[in-house]
Amino acid sequence: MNQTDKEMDEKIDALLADWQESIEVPQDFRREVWRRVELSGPCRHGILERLAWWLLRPMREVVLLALVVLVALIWGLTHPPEPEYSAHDAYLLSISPFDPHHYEELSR
Amino acid sequence: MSSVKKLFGYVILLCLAAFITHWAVQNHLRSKQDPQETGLEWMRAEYDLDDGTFARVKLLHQIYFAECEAMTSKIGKVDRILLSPPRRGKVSEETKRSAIQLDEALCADYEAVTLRHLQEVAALMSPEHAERFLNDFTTNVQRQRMEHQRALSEKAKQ
Repeated sequence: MNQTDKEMDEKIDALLADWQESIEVPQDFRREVWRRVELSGPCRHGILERLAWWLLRPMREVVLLALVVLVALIWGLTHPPEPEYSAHDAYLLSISPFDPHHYEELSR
Repeated sequence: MSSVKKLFGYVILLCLAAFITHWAVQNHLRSKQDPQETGLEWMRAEYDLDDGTFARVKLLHQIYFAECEAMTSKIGKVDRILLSPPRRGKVSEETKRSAIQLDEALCADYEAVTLRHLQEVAALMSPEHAERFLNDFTTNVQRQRMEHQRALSEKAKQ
């Protein structure tokens, strides 16, 4: 930085130190602001907006997703699928070489 | 995108995740169902087999299961000629007749093997249970053999 730049910076600093903005506000400025707020009425958001506002945050989204996956996992494990055949038919299938289940794929 | 649309997309994502998880678990459980194990456990309870008898019954079955799989595979190979004909061309009448004759011969042999196995298993049971067991499964095996051959003959006529 050369000498001229330095002098210029000092002048700017001095100017900024002296500078003060005086804003004249009307006497009833605050009252007018509140009046306008009242006139605009209450801020109305539907239940969906409020739910979205509450739910759609990264942490909550991840926790809920993990919870849903866990519930689906537990539900699946505690409600096993119905077997394709009864236990009696499972035995017959395992001992009979003529059981139609062996040849289902061939017949399709 | 509005917050409601985002919420809607997120709910769809949740449903999809739940569905895929449930489907994967059910598929996994279904693939673990083993008819041989299920059948043997059913038999143990149905015919009141004690541990010693069940161990011998299980051993007989383990030997027989391998035999049964070989028989099933052999019948399947012959039947493929009639049940899954080639897309191009046609199976000649002579080939069909030969396949049916071969299938009949195999079925007769395999029915004898199966009935012998059932007799061996029944010999380990009490007389009342043995009679009920043989009545049930001899009838079923013979019925399945007849149905199998009937289905094959009908297919050959098409």
